[in-house]
Amino acid sequence: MTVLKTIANICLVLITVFAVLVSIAFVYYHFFVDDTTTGVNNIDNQVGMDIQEILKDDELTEEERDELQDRYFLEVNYYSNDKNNGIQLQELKMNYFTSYKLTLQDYRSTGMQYLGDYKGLPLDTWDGNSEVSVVKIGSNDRYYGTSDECVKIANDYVDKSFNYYDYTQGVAWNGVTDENGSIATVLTRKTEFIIKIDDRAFAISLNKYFDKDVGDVRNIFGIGWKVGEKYNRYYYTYGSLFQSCMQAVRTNSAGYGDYYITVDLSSLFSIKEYDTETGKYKTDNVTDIIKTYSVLKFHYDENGARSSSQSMFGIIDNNSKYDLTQDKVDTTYWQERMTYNLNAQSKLNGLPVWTYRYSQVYEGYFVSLSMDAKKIFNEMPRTKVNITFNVNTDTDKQIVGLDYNAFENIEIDTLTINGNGRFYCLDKSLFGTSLQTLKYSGTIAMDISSKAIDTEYAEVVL
Amino acid sequence: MRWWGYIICFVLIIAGVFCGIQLYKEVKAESYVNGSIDISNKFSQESFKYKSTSAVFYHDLYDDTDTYYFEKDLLKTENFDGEKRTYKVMLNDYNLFNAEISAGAVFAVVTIDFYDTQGQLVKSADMNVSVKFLSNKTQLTLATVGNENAQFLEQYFADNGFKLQIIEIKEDLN
Repeated sequence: MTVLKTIANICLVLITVFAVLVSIAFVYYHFFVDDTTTGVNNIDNQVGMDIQEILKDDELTEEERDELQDRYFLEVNYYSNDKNNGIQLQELKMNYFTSYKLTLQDYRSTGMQYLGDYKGLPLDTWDGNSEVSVVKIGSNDRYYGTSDECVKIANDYVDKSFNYYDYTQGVAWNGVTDENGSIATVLTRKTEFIIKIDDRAFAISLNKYFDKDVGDVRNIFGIGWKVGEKYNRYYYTYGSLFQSCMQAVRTNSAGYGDYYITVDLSSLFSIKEYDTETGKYKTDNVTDIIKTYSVLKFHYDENGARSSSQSMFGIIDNNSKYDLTQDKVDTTYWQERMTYNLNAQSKLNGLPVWTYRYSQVYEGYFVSLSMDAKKIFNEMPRTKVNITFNVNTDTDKQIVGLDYNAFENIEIDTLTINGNGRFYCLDKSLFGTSLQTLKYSGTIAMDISSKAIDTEYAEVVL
Repeated sequence: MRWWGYIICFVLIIAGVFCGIQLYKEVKAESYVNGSIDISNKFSQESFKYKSTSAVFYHDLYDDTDTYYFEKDLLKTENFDGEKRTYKVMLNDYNLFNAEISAGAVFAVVTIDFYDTQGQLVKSADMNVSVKFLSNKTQLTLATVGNENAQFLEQYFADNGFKLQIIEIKEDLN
């Protein structure tokens, strides 16, 4: 019996020791390890949607892929006008989802635009005559600006200094009106954005504040004395976020350009994770996630903004045709064509663009476009090709004409032959080229096969 | 062991169980919070790629050549070597195969013709494209002469975007 009791006591002591160790581990982890940074999270994790899945969609164009890859929660576009050649333009865009399904259809952006250098202050709801709203038990500390009325004022506040735009399906618009309500996202402290981090949905809202000691001084007949602490509550708004972002961009060490930075949003935003299984928010404290996972993508320019095309919304001051260009001309056109001017010295990524075939019959070289060049031209949508040969001096090879299938449906605008002698165009050498103009020196004798070309063209003797 | 010894053990075990549960919750609940973001701010996949939804040309008041510029200082591009490697230069969908490529720079002259609805040429705009791969940054410059050329090019880039790529060719020419 004594032996059993001894064994039981030993077990009890061992369990107790283990419990003490667990307690120590908890205290250590809770107070010393909790905020340790470990591992690497790629910047792609900041993208507001599951890019990897969506990018597999074959129906996406390259432009759509580029656009999707570049979406982050915060984006800033800042034209500083340091060169004094436009206007100062500051823009902030937030990309988010409208539901926890996190699908492409739920994707939306809302942005703020300010013409000039925005200088705002945190919202002060205290009018100076407010009653003491909260008094801590056992102290004389007073808190102003905390009443339900103040909170309501703060939560409903919309800074009218800005132009607000929503962005859906590639089009930006302003749907905010004072009198008729709004069909756009209104940025207040109650606004909740759904963002995606590490494949999980989080709801974030800009609802933080800070209390500032303004001193509680009693004053009788000009004699004042401090009786306790008096705090006024200041509420952060989207203007605070806007100003902080512009400050971050303005002071970045890389200077002008396009960069990414990580920003700590924890002093402005609160965040909670959505549990898709229960349909409720989790209660875990996940504030740290917006300390380390928030990426701000920005464009910082030394020029001033001059055209609405420079806005990330395509609009400046609610005007999609905003343009400060002087001596404006009508630039409407139907189609553009990229012009390529080729001659015997032209290179194709450093390699010859022409191939030469020697003919003993004609005692010279017939020229044709290389297969690689034909392939490249066929892949380009609209090109205008002008070709100029000087048959006597261009190369060490005596060029005597265009070879069979020299161009194979590559469209040519103007073909110019300089020099002297006879120049042959063999069968199908200009088939499918839709040649517009053939120019040649008066000293050149053109010998064009009747089957060389299948379209009409103009001839010009130089 | 005395009776109070059992009580102490009991209290410590209860505390241990509580701490263990909390430890488990914290590790599990906040493990994904730990992390840092790797932002290299460097070009990696391709040698150089710049894209924008527009390009606006500016004219320096003190420049009497009537030249309009679009200039960008971009991040340093790693490993560009025009002498040892072969590159292709793409402007939107167009292959600028005639581009002059030197050790640390790319230069090309492009001509874009604009036609009206009658098919008549209304403007032919020349533009110089220059990319310099410097030790601390990449310098992109577009230049054109004349206000009208600049406006037509701005319209073209507003309609089609601006995407310039300089891609190393390893096997296939295309």
